[in-house]
Amino acid sequence: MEAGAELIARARLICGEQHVLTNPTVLSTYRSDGIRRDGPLPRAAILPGSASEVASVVKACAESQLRYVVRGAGTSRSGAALPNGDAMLIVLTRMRRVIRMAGAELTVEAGVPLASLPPTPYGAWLDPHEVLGTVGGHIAETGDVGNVVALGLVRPDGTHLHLHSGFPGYDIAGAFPGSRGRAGIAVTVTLRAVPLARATPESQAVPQP
Amino acid sequence: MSEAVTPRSFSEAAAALAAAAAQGRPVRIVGGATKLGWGGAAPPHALHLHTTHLSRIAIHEDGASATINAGTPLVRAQATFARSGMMLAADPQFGLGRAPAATIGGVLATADTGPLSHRYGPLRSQIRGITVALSDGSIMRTGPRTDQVQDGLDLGRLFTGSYGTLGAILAVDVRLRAVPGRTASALGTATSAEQLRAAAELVARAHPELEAFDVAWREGRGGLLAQVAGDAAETRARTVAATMRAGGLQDVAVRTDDAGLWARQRAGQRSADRALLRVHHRPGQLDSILYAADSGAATVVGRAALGIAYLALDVPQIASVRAALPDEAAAVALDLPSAARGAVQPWNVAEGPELELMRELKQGFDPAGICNPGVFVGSI
Repeated sequence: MEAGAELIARARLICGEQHVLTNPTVLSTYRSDGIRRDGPLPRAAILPGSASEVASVVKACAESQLRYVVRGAGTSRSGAALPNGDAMLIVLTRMRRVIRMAGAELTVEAGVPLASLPPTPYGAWLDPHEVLGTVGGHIAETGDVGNVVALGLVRPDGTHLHLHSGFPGYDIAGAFPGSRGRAGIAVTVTLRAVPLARATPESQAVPQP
Repeated sequence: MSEAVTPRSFSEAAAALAAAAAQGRPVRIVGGATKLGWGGAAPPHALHLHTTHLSRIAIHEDGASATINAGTPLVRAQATFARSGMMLAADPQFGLGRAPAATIGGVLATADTGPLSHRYGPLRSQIRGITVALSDGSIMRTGPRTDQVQDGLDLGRLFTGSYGTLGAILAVDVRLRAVPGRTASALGTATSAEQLRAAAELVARAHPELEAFDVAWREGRGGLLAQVAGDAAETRARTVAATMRAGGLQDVAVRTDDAGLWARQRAGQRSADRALLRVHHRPGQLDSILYAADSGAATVVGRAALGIAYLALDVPQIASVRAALPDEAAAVALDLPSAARGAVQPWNVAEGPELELMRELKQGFDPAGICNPGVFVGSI
């Protein structure tokens, strides 16, 4: 069996038949990003449903020496969400679980849409003006995000790591934003809410009882 | 006595590293020498590379950012910024004793900061770009004032807290913040760790605009300290005080002359005669951290809502306190009395794929393995 076909078969075993798309009509939705509508057609779109499925798919790609592009909602304007050549597309939009919200910390899967982040009394999770795209895509593309405190990261060989900012060692989770996929795939992201802007004198007025 | 070099330019620093790499000679990078005891011991025959002469501050035209060369004492940089009403949101204890010698390079290399991190985030959030020298003699620059496009891990953030093991920090491009005009602090005490944790959660939730929010604890009792800033600081502090009372804290008060309170918190982040552990934990585990501290007669200061605690304790208590910490917490021994250095493992990190990735990074930046060898986690 040709390597691409073999990978597609393996991906179907990992993710389920219905989550590996190869029909050109269905795939045409993945030719667009935030700017283009006529990008190349990927060989297949693989939609893993969990971090371990992402790790297994990436490992299979590494073993088959097949290229892949990772995509969230496909709203990127940098071209990073579009496949080149006959690369496989790994799409994280099924991974939209909120794993844990404890105080000012929130852990979500990478495919959670920015617009679906739960409200927090502690400030804001990410730039509130950014409403398109997924958490994973936003972080991979935006270098100015400073409040990532932990990451589940799948490396190019399929290893799944758990990295905590502030824990002993290099701050890989903190350095990840803006890495555009070069450092691996963020599969889970823990954010710490950023406090609100300092109150203005007008807003500091205390309601009288 | 170790041999030493004191480069006067970035190219001299890079050349010194390249020359050492050619000889396979380890290099110990030294700023103000206020934290040389942190981390593992460097080889005794290491060449000392002092950044003292790389001392320059340039505030950019926008007034909201600056470039600071690595050997600049942070206290001098802050005094310069303060003349324009600005500050770098980094407020570590500048050193032990009276000499405020800590340099921006050393502060960055150890990711050392203080109570302001509650509002402004960790030190890495203040970094816009960085200039570093690598052991192959090259100089790398990133940031908005360069034409380098980031593609991969952020260099400035990766070097923050890297203990000089990837290369020598030469300069850092930082964002500046306006110095808050008036400040006021609310404080209250508790005699139960659970009550303190619950009150901390209540205050953090009700007041997302705090400048700083700290905890202090010793022998089964302690308190919270919350600072607000702005023209109506005192009024705001009174509302924070009301929340503290509602949370069950006692002796609640508001202070407008609060500088001394916060200086004491910063001072608690260093210890000249005891060991000092820095513990990262889930914010909801604050009570467990305080119990662990009490079990070893440790004094605690820390960030009440960030999950960062500094425990000052006697060396024989380190192992039992580490064992009493929650599983998800991580403790690093920073200050150690000189007699204990070498006997206490500062990092306590298990082998695993995370450590393998860190070794890969070290190998990529410093293939000669000469930059501060043995100082970091996993003997990196």
